Amino acid sequence: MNPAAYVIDAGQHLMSTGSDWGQDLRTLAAIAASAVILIPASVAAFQAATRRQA
Amino acid sequence: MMSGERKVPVPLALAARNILRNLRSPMLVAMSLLQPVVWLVPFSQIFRGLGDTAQFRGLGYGSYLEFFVPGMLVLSMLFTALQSGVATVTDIGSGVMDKLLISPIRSSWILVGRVVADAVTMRVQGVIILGIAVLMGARFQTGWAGTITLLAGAVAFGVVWACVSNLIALRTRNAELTMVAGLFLTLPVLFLSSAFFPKPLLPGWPQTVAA
Repeated sequence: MNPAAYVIDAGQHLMSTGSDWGQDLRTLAAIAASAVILIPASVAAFQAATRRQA
Repeated sequence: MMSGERKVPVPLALAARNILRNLRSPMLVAMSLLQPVVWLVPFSQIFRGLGDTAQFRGLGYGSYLEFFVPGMLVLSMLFTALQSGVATVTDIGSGVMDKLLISPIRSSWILVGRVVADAVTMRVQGVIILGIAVLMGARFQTGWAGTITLLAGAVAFGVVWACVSNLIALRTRNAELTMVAGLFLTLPVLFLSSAFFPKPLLPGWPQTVAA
C-alpha cells in the first residue's frame, strides 16, 4: 500500500536476512507503479506551468 | 562549433548546472551531507535497546543499526526530493526558468536536468550514510551486490518522490507551501512503514498500511 514501505522492507532484507526475490519484485513493482503515475503528472504540470510562463 | 568540441547532452548540462549551483553554497552542501549523519547516529543509539530484545532478534535483524540503515537511506532521499520542488520554485522566481525556456532546448529537459541532479545528490548522500553505518559496525548480509541494490532502490524511489515535490511546486509556485505540503505527505509515508520499528511489531492498521 505504501511504496516507501516496500523499499525499506526490501532494504532491511538485503541488510540483515538475505535477499528475498519476491520482496525485491514487489518493491520494483511499487516503484514502477509510483513512477507511472507521478512522472507523467509532474511532466504535465511542468508543461502547463511553462506554457503559462512562456 | 570547433571540430574537436564535444557536445554534452542537454539534460546532463542542466543537471551539472543545478549541482554547481548547489556547490556554490557551502552551507547547503554541508547541511545536505551532514543531515543524514546527524539523524543516523542519534536514532541508531536511542533505539539500540530495542535491537537487544528477544522479539527483535527473533525477526532476524542483526542490530538496530542494521535494521535502521535502509529506513535512514529512504528518509534521506525523501528529504532531498523535497528540496527539488523548492529549487524549481526558486528558478521560476529568480527568472532562471524564463531564460531556460527561451533557449533552444526541449522544455521537458529542464525537469529531467533537475531530477538527474537530485539523483546524483541522493547517491552521494547514500554512499555517506552507508559508509558511516559500516564505520559504526553495520554489516551487509548480501555484500556489495545487496548494498548497490539497496542504494539503487532508494535513489529510484527518491527520484519518483522528487516528482511529487515538483508537482506541488509547479502547482503552487510557493517555496514555503511546497516544503509544508511535501512534509505533510512525506512524514506519514515514513512513519507508516517499518523505517523505525519492525513491521511485525507495529499495531493493527499501521501494520496493514506498511504491508
